Amino acid sequence: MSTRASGQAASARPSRWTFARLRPVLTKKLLQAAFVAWASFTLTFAILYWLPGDPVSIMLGADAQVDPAAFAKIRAQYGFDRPLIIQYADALWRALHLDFGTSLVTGKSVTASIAEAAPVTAQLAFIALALSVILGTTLAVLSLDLPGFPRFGVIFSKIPSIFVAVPTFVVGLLLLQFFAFTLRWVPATGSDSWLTLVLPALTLAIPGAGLLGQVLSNSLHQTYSETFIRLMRSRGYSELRILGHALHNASLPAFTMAGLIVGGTLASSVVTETVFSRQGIGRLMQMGVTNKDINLVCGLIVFSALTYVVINLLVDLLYPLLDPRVEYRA
Amino acid sequence: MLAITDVGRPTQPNLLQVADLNFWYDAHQARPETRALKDVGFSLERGAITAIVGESGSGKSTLINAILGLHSSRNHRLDARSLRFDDVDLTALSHRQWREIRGRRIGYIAQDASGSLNPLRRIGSQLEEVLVLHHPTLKRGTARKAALERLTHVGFDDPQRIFDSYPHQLSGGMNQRVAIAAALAGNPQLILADEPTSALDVSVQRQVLDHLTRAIKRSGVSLLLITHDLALAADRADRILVMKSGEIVENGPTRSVLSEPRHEYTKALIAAAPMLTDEVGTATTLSPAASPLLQVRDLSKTYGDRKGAAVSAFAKVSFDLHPRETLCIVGESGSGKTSLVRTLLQLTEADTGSVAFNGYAVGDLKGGDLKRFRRDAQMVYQNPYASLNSRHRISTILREPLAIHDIGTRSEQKEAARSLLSRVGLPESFLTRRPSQLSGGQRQRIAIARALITGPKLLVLDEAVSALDVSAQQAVLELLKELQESLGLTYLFITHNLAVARQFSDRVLVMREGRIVEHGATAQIFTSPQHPYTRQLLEAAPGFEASALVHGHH
Repeated sequence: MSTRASGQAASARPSRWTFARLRPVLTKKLLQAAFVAWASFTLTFAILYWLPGDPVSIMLGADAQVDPAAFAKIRAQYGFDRPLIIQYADALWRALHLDFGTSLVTGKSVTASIAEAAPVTAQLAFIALALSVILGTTLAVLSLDLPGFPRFGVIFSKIPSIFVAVPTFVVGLLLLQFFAFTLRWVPATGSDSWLTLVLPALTLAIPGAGLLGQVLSNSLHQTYSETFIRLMRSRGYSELRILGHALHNASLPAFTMAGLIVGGTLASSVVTETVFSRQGIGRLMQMGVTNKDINLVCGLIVFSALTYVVINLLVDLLYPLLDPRVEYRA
Repeated sequence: MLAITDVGRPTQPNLLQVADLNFWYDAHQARPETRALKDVGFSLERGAITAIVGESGSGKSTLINAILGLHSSRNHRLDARSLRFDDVDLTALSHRQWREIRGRRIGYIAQDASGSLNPLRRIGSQLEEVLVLHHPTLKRGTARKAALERLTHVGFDDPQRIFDSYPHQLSGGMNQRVAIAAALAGNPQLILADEPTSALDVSVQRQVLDHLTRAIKRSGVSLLLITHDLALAADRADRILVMKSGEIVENGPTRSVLSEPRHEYTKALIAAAPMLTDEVGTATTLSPAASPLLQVRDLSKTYGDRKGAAVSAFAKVSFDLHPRETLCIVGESGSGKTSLVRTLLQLTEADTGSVAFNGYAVGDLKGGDLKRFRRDAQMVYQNPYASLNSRHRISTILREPLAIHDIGTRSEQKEAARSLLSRVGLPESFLTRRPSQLSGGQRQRIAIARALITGPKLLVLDEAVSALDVSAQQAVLELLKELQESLGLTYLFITHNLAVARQFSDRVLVMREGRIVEHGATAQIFTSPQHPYTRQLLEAAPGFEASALVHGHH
């Protein structure tokens, strides 16, 4: 027993972050990422192709009167007359070079549109995530009923499920009505000043805070029932110091959850950005889907999938820093 | 001992003074009969080791929690004529005042060694944290030096390696030593140790206790040792208190408690501590012609570890097991005992060697024959809490093996379940209960009944009584003996507990690191062990030194 333990312990100190140890993990994860990106691209392409409605007639508008010859010419111009497999291969090849063509509606380059909208959403998502973490953690800690503090835990432990249950657009509209129209503290719409970020970020943060609050509250309660917490009390630790240790331990499942929440934020941003009229990824997505803009939607889906994969890759890579018991395994 | 206390502080004659302590977990139900602690009274001398002996549920841990103010429930009620630690009244302290007491004046060590430390922080940083907490003058560099020094005090030769390790990289015994160092960090006057070694192997147990008592003697600290193991208490304590259902029934110096126990319960505990008695299992007399039921020859098994390297579980194991015989396989965790029985029962396949059961080769069995073998060779596991499906009723649990082997009609199966239940000494009403409504000993009886229901010839008992209290353990062992005689069973008994092996088996097989180091009749192994490892195990067993006290010769 002791020999085995010594072998492990001896190799413990040398950094767990060396490139040699990371390389097989990274290779595998990047291959997975590539697969996810390809699969999401293909799926989107297929769905949009088989949906009723012709992209060219949408592009021209419902009322446009075009004679069949001109219509065919436009179709040929965009390559819609080619066999499906050629269209797919061509689109995939260009997608590999981050070229998703031009939007069928605005005529702008899809990549450029995404690049323009991404920072707006990223800023929003980042602030929303920070708010989620702060709100979720506060709720989870308040639900604990620590010795020597007032006992309101029952009340606070119910709030996260309400947060999760209320739909995003309802939250958004309520916040708008109260803070923008009644109190007039912040502007209702737009994406120019930082003040316009407050309400949408809060809207986006609330479901995330609910999820995080629930997960963290559960794992905190579990952590507090563990022996080492009791032992810290027996060693005379203050409740605040114990909370620090407990939060570290309880954050592990919540950390994985945070990765998922960032992914979910992209989806929720469709509603939020529409409600608050912000020119971000969500708004772009809503436009693309409404107009059957194959190029734009394909580009957006691949972008979302990649974002999702990258965030989860980051979570996987950071996890062993939080939990020394986990090792990188390819 | 006066030297420990500060000059000028009024010194009480006793370090801890408890009188008429009553405790309720639920204050709303505070009636005399619902007390968890009943008029508990005792005192601790300075610098002495006092042991409280009792079974689980006797109130030992409740008492510890009362002394430390660490109750899991919030609406408890505590009444005491006196609960004083030195010059402090422990019944009326604020949270802040408790923090002055805990760690600084009273230290605490828990049973769960591996859970005693934050799994996410290095040993060093946790030890530094508690040292700085109690000695705020320590600076970064000096705290590190102090932590390393404290690690040497609990017997680590290479403190730097331990300092840099995470808890999961150390064994249970090593973690417990770190926890001891952490408990001693505030230089307390009293250490409360709640079953500090119950979860550890015999030799590790001895090592940890040695380090604990040495560290305590060095600093003149008093120790209150809570244990279910009377033999262990007899070896270490100056004074023994026996607890039963929340009451202290015996209180006296170790020697007199062992030689002249006053309370019936103490007498029963002494009788139930096999290491303290002279009773050695008497070998079943076998007719020499009896052919072995189980014949094992040169059995070896190797596993691949995570990196693909081969790890030998056990190698070249050979032995015979005759009908109606009890063979104990003794060894510490990791010695390959469990891998061996799993292979014997064909739950995993051996690499080389052979197992013959009743004359046929177990390794060649297939389909129906293998199923027949499973009927004849049953197994009882260590943990009666995990080995029974908690969602099923007892009748379903007992009938399941018969259903699997397609024996009898539904009503015949029910009848068999009923009769076996009475065989293992449980009332018929238990048929409709679920495992969660039973005690550990009752569950293990169910597990035994379930193993016996197919009418096996061989019963493999893997640490089958290790999770039970001493008295439940005795009752189950007696039941097993009675069943063996009436049903003609053959037992293969796996245990790390030498006392149980000594009392229960005809022959003993000592395993170490996957090899048999010694093999012989029980009396012979215990009176004249040949292999140094066997001797080492025997000496490490609690009660080895104290047995002389009971019999009055030394």
